Amino acid sequence: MKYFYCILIFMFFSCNSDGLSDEEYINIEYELGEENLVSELSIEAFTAEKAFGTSIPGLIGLESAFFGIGNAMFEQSWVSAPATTTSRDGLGPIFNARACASCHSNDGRGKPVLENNASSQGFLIRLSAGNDPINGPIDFPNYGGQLQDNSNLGITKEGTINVSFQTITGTYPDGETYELRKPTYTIVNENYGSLQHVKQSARVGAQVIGLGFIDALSEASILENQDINDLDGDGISGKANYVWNVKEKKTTIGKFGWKANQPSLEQQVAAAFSGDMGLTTSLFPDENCPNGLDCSKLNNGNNVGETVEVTDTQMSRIMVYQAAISVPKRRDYKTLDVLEGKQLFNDLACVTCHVNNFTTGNDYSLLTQLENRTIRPYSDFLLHDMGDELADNRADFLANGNEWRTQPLWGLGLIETVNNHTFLLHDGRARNIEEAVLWHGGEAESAKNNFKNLSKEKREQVLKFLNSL
Amino acid sequence: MKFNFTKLTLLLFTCILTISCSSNDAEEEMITKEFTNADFITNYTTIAAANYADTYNTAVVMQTKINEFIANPSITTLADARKSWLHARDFYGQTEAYRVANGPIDNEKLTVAEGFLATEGRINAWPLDEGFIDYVSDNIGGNIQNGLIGNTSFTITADNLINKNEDIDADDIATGWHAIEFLLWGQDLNYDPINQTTDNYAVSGDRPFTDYTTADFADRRATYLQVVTDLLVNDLNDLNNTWKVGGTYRTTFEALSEEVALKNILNGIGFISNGEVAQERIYAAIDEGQENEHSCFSDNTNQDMWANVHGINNIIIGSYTTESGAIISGASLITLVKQNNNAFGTTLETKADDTISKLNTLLGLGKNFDEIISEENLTSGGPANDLALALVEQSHAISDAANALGVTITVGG
Repeated sequence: MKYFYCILIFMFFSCNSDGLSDEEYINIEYELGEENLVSELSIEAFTAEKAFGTSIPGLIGLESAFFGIGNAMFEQSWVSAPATTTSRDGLGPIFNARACASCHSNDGRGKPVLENNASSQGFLIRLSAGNDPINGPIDFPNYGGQLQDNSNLGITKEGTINVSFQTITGTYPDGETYELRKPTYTIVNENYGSLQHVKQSARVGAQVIGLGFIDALSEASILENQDINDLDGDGISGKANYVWNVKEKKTTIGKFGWKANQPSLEQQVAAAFSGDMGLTTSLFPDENCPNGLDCSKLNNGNNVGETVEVTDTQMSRIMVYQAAISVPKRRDYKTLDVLEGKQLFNDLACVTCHVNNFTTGNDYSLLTQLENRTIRPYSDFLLHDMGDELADNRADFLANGNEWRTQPLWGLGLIETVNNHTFLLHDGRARNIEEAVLWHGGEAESAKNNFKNLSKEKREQVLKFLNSL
Repeated sequence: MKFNFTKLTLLLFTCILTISCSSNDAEEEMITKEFTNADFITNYTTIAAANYADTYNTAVVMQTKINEFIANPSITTLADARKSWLHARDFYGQTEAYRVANGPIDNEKLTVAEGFLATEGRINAWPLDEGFIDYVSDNIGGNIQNGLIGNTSFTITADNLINKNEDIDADDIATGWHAIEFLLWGQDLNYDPINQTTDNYAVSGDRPFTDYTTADFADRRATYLQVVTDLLVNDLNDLNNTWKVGGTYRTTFEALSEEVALKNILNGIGFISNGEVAQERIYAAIDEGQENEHSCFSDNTNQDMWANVHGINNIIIGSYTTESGAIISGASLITLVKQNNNAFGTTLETKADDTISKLNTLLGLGKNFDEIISEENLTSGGPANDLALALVEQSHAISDAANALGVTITVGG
């Protein structure tokens, strides 16, 4: 067989033949190791349950134990205090979810609310009264920073979420039509006063893979791609968000969240404990207390000798767990369609923002194995104006109402396997990858139009490539 | 169509080399080997099928005993039902060695024609939030009923329970072994009635049989127990049938290349050894206490450890003792690896022996698992820590063994 290729290659060189065979094309276009999105620390997804929940290889000593304990903590429900399960009580008084896994089922992607008053599985609405570039979104009076639509027994939840959809139709240049679905979320039964003039923005939980690698990125490596004034004239700017870092008591670069509004993995996790589950941590020690209640009089989940519900010990476990989750290897990466799609992804300039080449920093003490690793997140972690159609009109530190952080694309094609749905984007409005592409506007308008101008076959190739990630 | 000139040149160079150097197919010396990869794979299949058959048959016995209990609730019939659950668990626990191996129990990517079942989540999910199913203690001498059994607007059917399983929160488990366990035993509060404390680890859950006669929602509780028992037995029957000679998955498995089959087998036992049993079932329990204990209602966790450890060991030593006492014995992983890499094979043997020895130490204490973990923390050492560490080291030896056989696996959580 090898001889056969060689003969073909000679023919190609000697005859200057006008094309390569499929197999040659594959051999030429395939980059050794491109399927490994976090280099040699990538893992193979063996089950849907573990595809987004498997650790990097080579955990040592207690890291293995911490990973397992953090995993259990992530999966299990918290209950209201007091309870026999002393290490799992303290939920609420108001909350969105009882477990991390409620929003990140199998460490994966949440689902949007699709009908009025439906119980959410990884969906919430952020609220604010405005924004301060240094201190971030301003809490909305009586409600705070997000709507908690769930509560402990005897406590009133903040409100109920209703949704309506508007259909937007469009046509590809080749005549094929498509429909996009734009959701409008309304908060009804406001139980703590009027929400008039609130700035609100819906969110779904994202898969929690490769977060340690992002946490380990240096500020400089992210800034390398920043081009605020579009000096290179490619129509794409890219701006870093700078956000308040509670631990460091200063503003640092934002990396996590749909608007890059969290500076570190630790703050992201602690903010979720606080906002989503009503659990206090050293970083956010104040109970998320509904207006008009004296939370100091309620039962909390602090154990004897502790002042917070999620202890520093527990935080240390979940941090190792969250940092050590690897990224699954790509599938079908050595097929003609996927490799053609990869080329198109580059040619269409998608890769300008969905950057596939970073090297992590050299000072990640939480998990030193993650240092100096080449990773392919398919994100630049910068803010981009994505157009009016996708805008939430809610500013978040330096991100304005039109700007979003480029979403990392690793794991994209496995969401369906892990979570049995294909809803994408910040509020889950896209029903599949193709729709997510079509929602791109603003700085991505021309890339999207380039995509639309492709033949059906080539569009499918792009989608196959995206599904391989 | 673009091409990359550098790569093409490289390819050309390779071709010239390939053509100019005469290709020497290295003549392998004929070494007499005790076992081939195929022998090992075949023996694994035989063991898996026998293990699933035992699991199904013992679960049918359990179903009969549970039916008798439901028809005639009494101290005796409840004790018999519990005993049959404990016996069946010994065989199911060993089958966990076939998880995370791209097999029918948890591979979502198989087609029905290939043997798709993916029922692991409803068979053995844990820990469960028992309050989701039935009443629980309010810690001040009373009970709280917020469960499906007390919710008369919920119709208890298998389909409804499957839909409820992992509905919103990961541990809202409504079905499987541990749901049945909770319905037979109730919560284990470690309650000491004399001192009125909760550190009496010798006691287990002790649900009164009157929960099925005079208590609130007795009929709904009986219906629930019946439905989840029948569902479990059906699911185990499917697994038994698909692994049988000529079964759907058996056929799929036998058609796999040796390399893929080895990778699947070894990934399964490597992962269960480390990511599942050591990390989630032992370390999490040591660090965070009884709510992370695997069979916390019945205090059967020591025996769960026995079954999990032996399920892995069966594959390593190539031998399985059936319920009838017959021994199925064939190609062992240790011998197979030694033939390829003596050092890795020897290490695997050492680590596997050490795991069994640490297990025996734990079982020999004569204490329930909840008591054992109450005396340890992550840095204290002790029998539970020792077993976890042995399992982690065994998984690394399995990973090296896989490499010796030319495949790579993932053993972490």
